[in-house]
Amino acid sequence: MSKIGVFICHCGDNIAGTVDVGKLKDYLSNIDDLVITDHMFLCSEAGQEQIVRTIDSKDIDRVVIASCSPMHHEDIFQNCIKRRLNPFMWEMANIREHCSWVHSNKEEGTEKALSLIKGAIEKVRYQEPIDTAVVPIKQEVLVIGGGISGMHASLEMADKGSKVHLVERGPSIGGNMTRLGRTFPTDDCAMCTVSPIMNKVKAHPMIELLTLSEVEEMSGTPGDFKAIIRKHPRYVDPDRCTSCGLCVQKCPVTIDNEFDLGLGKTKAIHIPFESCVPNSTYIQERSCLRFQKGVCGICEKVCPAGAVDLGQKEQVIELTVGAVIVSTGYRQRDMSGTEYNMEHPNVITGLQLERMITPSGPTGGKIICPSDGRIPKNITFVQCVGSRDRRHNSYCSNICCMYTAKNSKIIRAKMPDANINVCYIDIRAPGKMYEEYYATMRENNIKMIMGIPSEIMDRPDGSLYFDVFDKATKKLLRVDSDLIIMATSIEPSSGMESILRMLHIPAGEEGFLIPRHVKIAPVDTPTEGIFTAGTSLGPKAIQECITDAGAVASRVATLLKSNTKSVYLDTAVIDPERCTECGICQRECNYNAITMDGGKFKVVDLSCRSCGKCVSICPAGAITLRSLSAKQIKGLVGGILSVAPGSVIAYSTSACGYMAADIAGTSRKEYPPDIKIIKLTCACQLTVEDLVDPFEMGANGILILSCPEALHHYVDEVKFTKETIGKAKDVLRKKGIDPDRIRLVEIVSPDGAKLQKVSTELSEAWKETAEVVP
Amino acid sequence: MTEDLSITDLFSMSKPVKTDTRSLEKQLRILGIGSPDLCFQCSKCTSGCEAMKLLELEPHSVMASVKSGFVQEMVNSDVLWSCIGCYKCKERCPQNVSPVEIMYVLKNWYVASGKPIPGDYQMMLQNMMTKGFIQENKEILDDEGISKDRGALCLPDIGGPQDMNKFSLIISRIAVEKLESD
Repeated sequence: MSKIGVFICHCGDNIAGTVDVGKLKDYLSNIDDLVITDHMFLCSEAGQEQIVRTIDSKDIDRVVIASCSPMHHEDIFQNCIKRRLNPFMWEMANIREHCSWVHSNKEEGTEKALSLIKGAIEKVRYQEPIDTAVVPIKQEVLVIGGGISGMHASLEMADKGSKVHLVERGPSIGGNMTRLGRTFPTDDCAMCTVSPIMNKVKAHPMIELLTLSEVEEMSGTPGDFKAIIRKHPRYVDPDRCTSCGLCVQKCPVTIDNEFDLGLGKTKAIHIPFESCVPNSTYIQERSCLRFQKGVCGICEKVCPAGAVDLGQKEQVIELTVGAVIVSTGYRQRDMSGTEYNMEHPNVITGLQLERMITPSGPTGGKIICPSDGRIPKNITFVQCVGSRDRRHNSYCSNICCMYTAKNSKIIRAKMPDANINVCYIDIRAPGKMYEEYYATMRENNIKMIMGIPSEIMDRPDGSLYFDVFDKATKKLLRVDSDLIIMATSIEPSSGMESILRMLHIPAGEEGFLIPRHVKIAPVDTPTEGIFTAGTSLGPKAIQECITDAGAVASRVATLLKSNTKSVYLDTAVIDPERCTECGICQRECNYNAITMDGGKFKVVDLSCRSCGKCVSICPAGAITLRSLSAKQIKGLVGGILSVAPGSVIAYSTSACGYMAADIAGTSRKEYPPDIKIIKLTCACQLTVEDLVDPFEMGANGILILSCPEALHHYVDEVKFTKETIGKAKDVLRKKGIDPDRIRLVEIVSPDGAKLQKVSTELSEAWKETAEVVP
Repeated sequence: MTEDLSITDLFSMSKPVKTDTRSLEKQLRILGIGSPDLCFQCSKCTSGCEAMKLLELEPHSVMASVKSGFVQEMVNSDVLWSCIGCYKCKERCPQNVSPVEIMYVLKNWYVASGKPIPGDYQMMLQNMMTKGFIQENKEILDDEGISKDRGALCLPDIGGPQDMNKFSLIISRIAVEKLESD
């Protein structure tokens, strides 16, 4: 017969001062299958030895440790028990932080300790051994997007020895950074910075470069993703092309140069931009006469290297990778059709100005009016165009203040006599060297106007003007301009929607990806194995993209550190017998951790974060958390209430509620002993039964100490738990139990004082009314 | 009871009254008008304000004043009455604030407090009751300074109330209803 070893720690007099350990042992000795021992300091070497020896000598297969908080010594005890038993066949009763330190009456303290130990016994009774799974980890990485973030992450991963597949939609890698003239806050040439990185990517033996390619389908699990890539034909062999430009000269079709954002012209076959990688021409299929009308083919005939191949076909490439990095970048918002008069040729965007500043750009580095090529005398910048604007994008685009500072300085250097105005709301310069950089801008005789125009107007002669109220001078100014540069808002790239759909990762309202945690997991997506870096997360400067890319490489390397990964299966598990294949769990899982495998839904153990949302939402009750099943919760609650009926069951999340109770303990904030804290990974797992059954077992109320909604530890746990509570309240109403006896309190971990206040108030209120109810 | 906001306007020695801001906000909520709370002083409204050019109305400044509790000062301010109600400030506001509608509310507060409607408005009201318009059709100046009437601008003739008595009766009835409901 199986036996449960109960080990009670005195912790000097930390526990024994308030809890009568002798009495505990007396009470517990009435239960048959228990082996009860106590120790002055159970966490000491001697205490641990005693645990191991007792397990050996008394044939024990489950253990209860009654001592301090698991936050404190869980690892020590787990390692100790692991020497003889499965590492999950034990339970900790927190009789120090949650008992002896918050109660002064020895009788009450002893009774509470007994109830917590009884609960732990009844919980561990239903614990099944938890296995370790070995998951294969493919040592290859897929990087989507070849901008500065994607390139840097690729290089970092390749240098660490992983095979990298870098997929870029366009004909060259480099991203938006290759469009820039110079970069803040150092004013160095963008191309000089990015070009060596591009060449390094191309030359790296561990990087496979796939340009003109798009991810079409993704499937699989973390460590073993399958990706299908469609590689569009370039119609030119980049290895043969010498970029001599003869084909471009002879091509009869002139088109707008996409790279120059409409400022220059090029041909249907063209070199995307100087020093592009691969350094080769390509044919824009939608403009080429051969593909649109079936005629021409001059380029193929004139190419001296025989590089043009109009017969090239689309390729479909299948990849298996361990991890995916999304670095799809940004675009500028199209603001045409608004009061900003973007249709006027002399109203341009910040990125278009970059093309004019670049010496290799369409104007040879000259600032001109695109309408007629004349040199502008009055140049005006307008900030926050579509950013910080609830009608467009409500967020701040982050980089516009600094690039306008940079560009206004560059224009001043090029054109000492020009009138340069900047209309702004606030100047935001919070980065390293940014405020200093803004100061150098102010030394350049640039008129700063504290206000933004209501509309941009033009006269028949093509000149532009607007009125703006300057808050500094308190004057309404009419500003005449030959060229206006709009700091248009930054948005995710156009392909973002399909990326979200394929990878099952979430984006915010504004369309940028949401990381697993804004602060402590900023480059992880909620789905294990899928990471992100750069402006796919939000507007940011180049140096922050590099930081992201380095961080993402480190995160991926952690996952890829060996060919296999061992994981404890303390995750959710679906009972195939009870599963009705409704698919709700798969839809609702925030971590994409439920997959269809051989016609059955299955939990992806590497992805599951054990939040328990699926447990609560499954209409068939087919899902269980291996480390805390419904039976175990019932055992735990029943055990507590069998000793102390009339208690308040306080379900607490391990990250917040449970920690707050620990803090209340360490700071000796007393609260009523009828509050019994129960640890959950996340409040998500609570089912209606978990909230109703305790009342039938004699509970006086249920308190849910959850993480605050704003923290999003498990994405939408608070919202979801509130829904479950709503359903439980309906059931209570039908049963004639006051539904207000369930209360959810959002609490942050350091707020022991709030726990003390709330639990005292509720305990007293519920106790009072309990006497009225028969 | 008014809260002490620890602020004094040294020009008028007046102190802001937070409760005024609260009751204004309550009324704006009921009317579904964008609250001035979100205003971040970009002054875009003032940049485009038609009344600013002639009569120095600064909607952004009105928003700041009502936000900080100087509501009565704004209610009693002449400059509010220069708003021509073009709604440009509301249309262009990046924070969905509606200065024009907030100023209507402030003007209603002024009238509701029993103070007389300013002279020009009296005249406009009178014109409205007798002719159906606040003023006669006037010619306007274009950008080159040339005077143009509706015909020159290719605009159709404006009609008018067919039954003047019935028209003024309806208008009066609406005014009475409005006063009673307030």
